[in-house]
Parts: sequence; C-alpha cells; structure tokens
Amino acid sequence: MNSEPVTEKKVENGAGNTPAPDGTEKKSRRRPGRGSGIFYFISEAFKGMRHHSVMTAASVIVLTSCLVLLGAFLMLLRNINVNLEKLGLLNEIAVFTDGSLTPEEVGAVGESIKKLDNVDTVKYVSKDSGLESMKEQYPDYSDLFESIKNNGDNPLSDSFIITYRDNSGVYELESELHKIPGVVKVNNRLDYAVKVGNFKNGMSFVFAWFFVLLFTVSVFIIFNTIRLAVEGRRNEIDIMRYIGATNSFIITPFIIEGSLIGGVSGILAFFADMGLYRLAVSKLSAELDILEYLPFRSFAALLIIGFLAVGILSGVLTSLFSIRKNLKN
Amino acid sequence: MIEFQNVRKEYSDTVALNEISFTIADGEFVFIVGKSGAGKTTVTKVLLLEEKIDSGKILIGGDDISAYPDRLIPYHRRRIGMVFQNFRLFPDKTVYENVAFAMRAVGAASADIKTRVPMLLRMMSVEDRATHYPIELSGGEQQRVALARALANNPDIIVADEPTGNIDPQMSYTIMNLLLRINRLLGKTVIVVTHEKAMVDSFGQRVITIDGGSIVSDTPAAAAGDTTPEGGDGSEQ
Ligand SMILES: Nc1ncnc2c1ncn2[C@@H]1O[C@H](COP(=O)(O)OP(=O)(O)O)[C@@H](O)[C@H]1O
Ligand SMILES: [Mg+2]
Repeated sequence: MNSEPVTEKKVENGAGNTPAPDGTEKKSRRRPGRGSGIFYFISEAFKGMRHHSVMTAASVIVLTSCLVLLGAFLMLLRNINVNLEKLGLLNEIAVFTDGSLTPEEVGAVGESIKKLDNVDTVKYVSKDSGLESMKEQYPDYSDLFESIKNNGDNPLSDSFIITYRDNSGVYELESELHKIPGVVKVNNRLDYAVKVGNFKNGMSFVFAWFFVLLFTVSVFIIFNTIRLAVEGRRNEIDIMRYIGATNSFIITPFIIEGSLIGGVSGILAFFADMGLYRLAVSKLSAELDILEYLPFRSFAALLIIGFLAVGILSGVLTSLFSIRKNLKN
Repeated sequence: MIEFQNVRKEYSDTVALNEISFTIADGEFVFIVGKSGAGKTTVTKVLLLEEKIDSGKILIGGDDISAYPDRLIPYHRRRIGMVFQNFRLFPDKTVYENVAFAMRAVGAASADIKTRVPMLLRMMSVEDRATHYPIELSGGEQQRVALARALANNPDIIVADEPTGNIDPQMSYTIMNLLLRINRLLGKTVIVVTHEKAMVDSFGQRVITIDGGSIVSDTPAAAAGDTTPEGGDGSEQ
C-alpha cells in the first residue's frame, strides 16, 4: 500500500475513486469538479476583500487615480497634437514666391526647394487655392474673398508648403530657402512649434513623475493588501498545505483578489476619465472655440482596454510578488 | 514501509533529531513518546517534508522522499493524514465543510464528496454536528472531525501529533481507540506522537521512545492480542 511511488497523476486520479474506508472501491465517472473550484476561488477572494476592506478600498482608489491620470494625460496629448496638425505647426514651413514670377519660374523655385537636404515633402499652393482655403477658414468673410477673386487682384502669391525631416537643421534650411531666387518670404513656425514641443515635454515629464509616484504607491498598497490577506489566513494556508493542497490552489484566491482590485480600478478609471473629459471639453469649448476637441469615443476603446490591461496586470503581478514574499514553500 | 535512516535535523542551535533510525511496517500502529522538546514533532515535520533533513534518508515504500522536488510535496502530503493537538480545523467552515474542503482542495469530484463526507462523519460519530462550527464543539468532537478530515483523501498513513493534548482524559481514550480502529479496520499505518506515557502503556502497542533527538527504546507490541484499556472500547460517544 505504501510502496507506490508518489506521482501527481496517481493522486489526481486517486482523489476521484479512492477506496472507501470500509474497503469497497467506488468508481467515479466524473472528472474532478472544476466548476465548484472556480466558484470557491472567487468566493474566497471576496471573503478576503471583505476582511480587509479598508486596504482593498485604498488599493482601488490609488490605482484608479493612477489610471485616471494616465488617461487624462493621453487624451490631452492627443488633443494637442490634433490641434497642432490642424494649425499646420508640425514640421511645416511656408515659402512664398514673388507675385511677379511666371508659372515656369515658380516651377523652378519648386525644383530648387526639392533639391535641398532635409526637405521631406513639397506641396504647391497656387494663389487661387490659397484664397479658397482662406475663404473656408474664415467663412464670415467669404463674400470679401469672393469679390477679391472675381476682381482678379488676388493679393496672395503662389507658395510652397514644405515639411522637413530634422528639427535641428531647420534654421539652416530656412536660410537656404531665402537664398533661392524668387522667394520673398519664408514663414517658419518653428519657434512656436518648439514652444509647444517644450510645453509637451515638460508636461510629459511632470505627468510621468506623477504616474510613477502614484503607480509605486498603488503597487505598494496592493502588495500590503495581499500581504494582510495572506497573513489573515496564515493558519488556513498552513492547514491547506498539510492537507496537500497545491501552491496554485492556495494562491489562486489571492491572485483573483489582485486582479479584481486591478479590474475594478480600470473600470472606475474609465468612467472617471469619461466624466472628467466631457466636463473639461464642455467648459473649454465654450471658452476656447478655435481649438478642436476630439470626442471621448475616439479614446474609449484604447482607454478601457489599456486600463484593464494595466490594472489587472499590475494587480496580478503585485499579488504574485506579495505571495512569493509572504508565503513559504 | 516508512524507514528513517540516520536522520539528522538541526535547528540553528538545537539538534532536534540526532541520526535516528527506525522502521515502521505498512499497517503498523506505533506510539512515539518522549518529553517535551525530545524531537517528536520534528519527526512528523520531516516526514511531511515540512522541514528538510540535514542528513540521512527517509524512505516511504522504498522511495527517498527527500529527493522529491517541491512540486511533488503536496502530492506526498496527500498520502499522510495529519492530526494535531490543537485540531486545526477551519474556524469559518462547518464540520461538513471542513471535511469536504480537504477533498475539494485535492480536486475530488462533488459526487464523491457528497457520499464520502457523511460516511466519515458517521464513522467518527459526529454526523449530528455536521452543520456546526468548530467553536461550538467540545475538544473531543473537534478532534474526531479532524480525524474524519485526515481520512478524507484516503491516505495510507495517519500521523497524530499529541492528539489528546487538549482533551479530557476520558475522551482521550476514545480518540486513541478511534486511531486504533482506523489502524485495525482500515489498515492504515498509524503513528501517534504523545508525551502521555501512562496512557500509551495501557494500549500495549509498539512504543518508540525518544529523548534529546535520539531513540532510547523501541518496545514491540504486546504479543497477546489487543489490550483494550478501561475507559472505552472505541465505539462509545
Ligand atoms: N523551528 C524551530 N527552530 C528552532 N528550534 C526548534 C524549532 N522547532 C523545534 N525546535 C527545537 O527542536 C527540539 C525538538 O523540538 P520538537 O520536535 O518540537 O519537540 P517535541 O515535539 O518532542 O516537544 C526542541 O529543543 C525545540 O526547541
Ligand atoms: Mg511537539
């Protein structure tokens, strides 16, 4: 009886059809109950969370704040980029030609621009289409633009919109553009773009630090929440080990607890960001209506998936780490 | 067969087991006695791989258990039903759930749990306590629930560490007799650790006495039949 070697299989099968103590062998056709297992794990996880509800709540609140911040930052950055693109501030230089140039001469200017290093794309904008786009941009004055067009005294000149590859070579590019015959004006929004870029970098820096700080705090709190959960059940865990429960059976409730903390935080953060964003947009669009605001739904999928992923992953990994630190063999 | 071969276990400043050797056959009933601090609990801990030994070998059925990788330790423990002085029942589970949980924890099917748990509770005469919580039971009842739980996964070996330490003398005999019955009727190898030498002697079973981590005597069971001491025949409530 004692001479059979221990194997996982022997015991796994054995649990189902062990001989009864009276010696009669009873066969089981059923597989070990998995359904009741999942139910058990989840109910244990909830029991654990009730036991130390304050810590659980603290974990959720801090992790939620962390995710809200992350989402807010992301939405802010995307809005800034959209507006920069719209204003044509991103890597664009406008080159205006002398109004007296013939179309061939304008074409030659375009060719010379294309030959310069650091030039990425070149777009020709005729003076008519320039007028057209101004008309679109300022619809209130469309009559004025219409009459200018009809009079044939368009004050605009043909121009080129250039995008470049390398920010650091812009001033050099600018002076080279000036040297091209027929170019009268080079409109570089780099100063402005650099300012906005610096602002973005500074903001990213502050946000990143806040995020790291909050994330560290939330990992710390989840770690301690799970530690408390493990400690509160130390006795039960010991009994389970003596009974022969596997480590994975013992730790699964704690992992579920961690993932619930993460998942709930992710969902809360999503709705918090939705509310905050809509509030911010409704306030800002009343004050600053020249800016474009992306609708919340353009972030929704990214945010909910990202939040759940970050939340659950950090919850699970932190729980695992905490259990490893607080549970021997 | 359980074989201890020159097993040595040291804690930081104590030699708990000093190269002890003994053999326990399948289906044997053995008392391990000794004063407090003699090393009795350490014997159970190294047998359950709760503690690792420093040298020597422990074989079960010829299998060197010290060689088991950590992964196999839970499966090893399922072969041994453990009973403790302080019962170690789950306080927030009923009597029924305590036994059922032991089965669930090793992946038993619900159908098996439903038939086996009531049978075990009946066998230990605690079936009328099934829906009670441990705190509502007497020490003797709690220990019988613990015995039922130890049997839940039908282990080959039962190890009881001071099972009567928290129980009145009268009930202590009942518990000992239940252990004896588990040995006789179910064929389990039973190892009972205790410091109550007087009670042990009245049972006439094999007694291994240890002191200071060494075996000082190993007395075989009384040759003539079973000595059933006054105080119970094992079937009393
Ligand atoms: N975890 C431990 N750390 C250090 N010393 C221990 C530990 N466990 C037991 N001991 C010591 O080992 C010796 C044997 O202990 P134990 O086996 O518990 O004795 P018994 O069960 O016979 O009373 C004692 O001297 C005890 O103090
Ligand atoms: Mg002891």
